[in-house]
Amino acid sequence: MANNKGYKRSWKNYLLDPSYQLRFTLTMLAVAAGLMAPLGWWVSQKATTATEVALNQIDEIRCPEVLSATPSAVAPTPTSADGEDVEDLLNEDASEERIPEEAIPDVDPSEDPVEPTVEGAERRERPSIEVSIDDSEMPAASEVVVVGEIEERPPTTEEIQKSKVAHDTCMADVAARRDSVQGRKSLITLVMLISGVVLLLGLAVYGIKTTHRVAGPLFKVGLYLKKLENNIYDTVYNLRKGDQLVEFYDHFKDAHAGVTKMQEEDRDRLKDAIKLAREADLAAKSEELAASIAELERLLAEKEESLVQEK
Amino acid sequence: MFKKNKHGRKISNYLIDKKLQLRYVIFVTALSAVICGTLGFLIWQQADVATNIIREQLADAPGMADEVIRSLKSEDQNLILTMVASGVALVVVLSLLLVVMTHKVAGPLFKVTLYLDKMRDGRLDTVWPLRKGDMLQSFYTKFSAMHTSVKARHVETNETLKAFVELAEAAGIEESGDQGHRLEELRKHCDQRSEALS
Repeated sequence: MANNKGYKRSWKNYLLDPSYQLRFTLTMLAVAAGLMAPLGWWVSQKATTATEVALNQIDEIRCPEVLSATPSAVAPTPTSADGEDVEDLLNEDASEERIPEEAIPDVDPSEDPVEPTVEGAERRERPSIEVSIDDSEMPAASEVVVVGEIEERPPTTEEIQKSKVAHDTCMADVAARRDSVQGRKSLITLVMLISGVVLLLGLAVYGIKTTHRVAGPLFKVGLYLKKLENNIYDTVYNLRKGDQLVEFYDHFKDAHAGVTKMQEEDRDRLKDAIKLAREADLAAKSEELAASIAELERLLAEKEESLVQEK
Repeated sequence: MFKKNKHGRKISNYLIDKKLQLRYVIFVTALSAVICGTLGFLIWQQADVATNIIREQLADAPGMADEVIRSLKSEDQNLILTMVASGVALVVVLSLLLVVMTHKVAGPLFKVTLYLDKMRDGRLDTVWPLRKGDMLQSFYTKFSAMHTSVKARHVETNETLKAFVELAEAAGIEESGDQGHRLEELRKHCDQRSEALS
């Protein structure tokens, strides 16, 4: 009765109780997906923000210009701290509306040293200050002798080469940094997708496998239940190694033994009744008794047939 | 689990197999740790790159740079903490769900165990349906069908035996004799069976 037939697991019959196994596994998957989705969204947001910040900072990097062989007619444009061209700032003033010369009143400086009168404004008297300068104590101004025309020195080939190398290195560094940051962003997205798939696939496979360890013994018990339903009191074998519900299975074996014992008791009582009927020749006493005895014999045959595999 | 206990609806009875469930929790924990760890490291790395570039560009203003870098580093640390918290939350929620789902399996199994214990003692009383939302409905249906069938056969046998005993008594078998004694034994068996099948 307690033998093990040694059935081995097969992937083909891993879904022994689909309604239970799928319900269990799909619920776990749905919850895991529900948790992973906001986490994935958050990760994606953080990755995008970090990437944008990094790319913006990389774009701020200014690489040195390559020197030109001929001096440029226009000097390189100076740049303010804000990155705005100083020339632009200067042009800003130039672009302001110019006051026509006719509008400026002719003022003789000797006549009135004070600033020109603004129309409508009250004229204010200013105190006159007399200043006398004694240039005897002042140092004599150094004499500047211009020998010839000043010309910008063109950079040497070596300087041009160096500036080109520096420029190229800087540009390559910037490009590499951009690629690295963007590559990492792609990697995060890829890892995120793979993680989601691995989590869901892992939970699905593990869920089916775990529930199979429960569904397996129940499937086996289900076969015995079907046999009992069809009046077959078969031998109950042990579970396979690694199966769960060992205690439950023990309860089932005890119950199977219990109903088998009931069946045997009924069989024995039927035998007793038929034996008694024969000894007392009850079949001859009435038709009802004869029919009853025939029914007892039919039941006995059924019970003996149901128990025949037990031996 | 599934020990004989009339008041056995304890928390421990809701768990099918602690070892199996522990293995499942370890599996989910490992998976969550790998996923959250990898993702957390990648985001932290990306944020760290941005922080380092900002630090390079703020090199000319060391006073301000320190404050900004401290703030950015703190944000980077928060990323790690958030990922750790997410991983822990994933493990806790999936483990709790496992217990709830197991409960829905353990409930029907516990109920069936009670009927099995009665069958072991030779009693076949009425099988009641499962609660709504319980799992293993198909298994329970099979069990219920078996129980009904076995009980019906025993009832039929018992009714037939009872009818025979009554007919035999009516036919005038002497009560004090050996046959009368055997008939009495049959009647006792029928009474016991009737009680067991009620």
